Amino acid sequence: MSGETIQTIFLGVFSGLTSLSWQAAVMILIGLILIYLGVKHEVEPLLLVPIGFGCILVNLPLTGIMGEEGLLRYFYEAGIITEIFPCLIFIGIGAMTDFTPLLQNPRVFLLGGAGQFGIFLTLLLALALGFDRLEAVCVGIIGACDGPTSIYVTSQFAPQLLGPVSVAAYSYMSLVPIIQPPLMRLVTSKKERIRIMEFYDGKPVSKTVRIIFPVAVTIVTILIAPLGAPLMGTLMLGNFLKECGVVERLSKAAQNEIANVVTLLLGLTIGATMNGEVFLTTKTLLIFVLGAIAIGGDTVAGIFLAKIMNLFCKEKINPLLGAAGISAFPMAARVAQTVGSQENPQNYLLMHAMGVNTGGQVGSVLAASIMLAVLKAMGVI
Amino acid sequence: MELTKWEFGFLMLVFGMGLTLTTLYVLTWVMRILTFLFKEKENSDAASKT
Repeated sequence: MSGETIQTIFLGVFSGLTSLSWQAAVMILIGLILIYLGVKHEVEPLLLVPIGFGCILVNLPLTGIMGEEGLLRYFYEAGIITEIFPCLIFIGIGAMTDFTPLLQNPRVFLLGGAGQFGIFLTLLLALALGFDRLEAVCVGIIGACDGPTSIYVTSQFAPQLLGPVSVAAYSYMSLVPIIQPPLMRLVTSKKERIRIMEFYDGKPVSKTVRIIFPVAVTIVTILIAPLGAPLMGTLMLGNFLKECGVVERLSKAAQNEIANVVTLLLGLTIGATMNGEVFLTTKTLLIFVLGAIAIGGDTVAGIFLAKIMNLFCKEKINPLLGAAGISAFPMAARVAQTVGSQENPQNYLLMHAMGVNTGGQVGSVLAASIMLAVLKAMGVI
Repeated sequence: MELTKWEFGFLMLVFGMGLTLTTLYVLTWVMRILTFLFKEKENSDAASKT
C-alpha cells in the first residue's frame, strides 16, 4: 500500500475534522454555551437546549443535515417556512393562559399595548443602522418579547435573520429579570414604587365572559388586522379550548403533547438556522444590541403610560405595573411584584401584574398583526 | 407608495402604536360590556341552584 493511499484513507476518515471552519467551531461553542445556560442555570431550558443542540448539529461539517434532503431541512420547510410551528405553539400558549386577572381589571389592557413601543423604536433604529425595511421590521419584532411572533414575522420577511432574531427574542425573554429592574427604578420615584393598590379582591368573572372573551378578541382584532389571523386566531383558539370546558382532552393536548413536541422541533430547527457563515456577522451583533434596546423601550413606555393613566384615573395604579406589559409571561409580572415588594413589603402587585402581563401577550400579537396590516397598506408586502 | 425610510419608520410608529392602543382600548370596552352583561345573570343562576 502506497503512502498516497494511506494519506487518502486518513484524510477520508478525518474529513470532518479537516473540514471544520473557524466559524463552525465558534458556533459549536455557542451551541454548547446555550446548552450550558439551559441545563446549568435553567435559562429557558425548553428552548435553549434544543436550539443549542440544533446549532451544534448544523455546524458539524459534512453532515448535510440542513442540506437539500437533510432531516432538519424537512423540519424547517414543513414547520417554519409554512409558519405551522409558531401557530401550533400559540394554541398551547392560549390553552395555558388565564385571562381572569385581565378581565377583572380591563383598563390595564392598555399597558399591554404600551409594552410594544420597543418594537417601533427598534424598527427606527434598525433603519438608521442600515437594515432594509423588512429586516428592520423583523429586528423590531424582538420588542414583542414573544418568540413565536418573532419567528412568524421573520420567517416570512427576512428568513436570513431567523437565527439571530429568534435567539435574541428568547434570550431577552429570559433576561427580563435582569434588564427591567434597573430601568424600572430609573424612571419611577420611590413614592410611586411604594404605592399600594387596592388589594386584589378576586372579584369573580363569570364563565360566560371567559368563554366569550377569546371569541370577541378574535373577531375584533382580525377585523382590524386580518393578516394577523393565524397568530391571534390560534392564540385565542387555545384559550377557548381551555375555557369552554367541553374539550378537556384537546385543551390538555394543546398544553402538553402539542406544545412539547412543537417546542422541541421548533428549537431544533431554529438552532439549525445558526450556520456559522450566516450567523457570525456584524448584523447579528447589531440585532442583539437592538433587541436589548427594544426590551428597554417596552419597559419604559409601559411605565410612562401608567403614569399618564394616573393623571386621568381616580384609582391610581402603581407605575411598576407598566413594565409587565410585555409578552414574557409570567416573568415580567414577577419582576413587577419583586421590585414593588422590595420597596414596600406590604405591596402586593402580583395579580394586577398578571393581568397586565396577559394583556402584553395579546398586545404583542396584536402589534405584530397591525404591523403586517400597515405594511400591506403601504404596499411593502 | 414611494416613501423614504424615515417616512416609512415614522408611519409604522404612528399607525402601529396608534392602532394597537386603539384596538386594545376597544377591547377594554368589550370586556367591560361582557362583564356587565353576564355578571348578574351568572350570580342569579348560582343563587337559584342553591
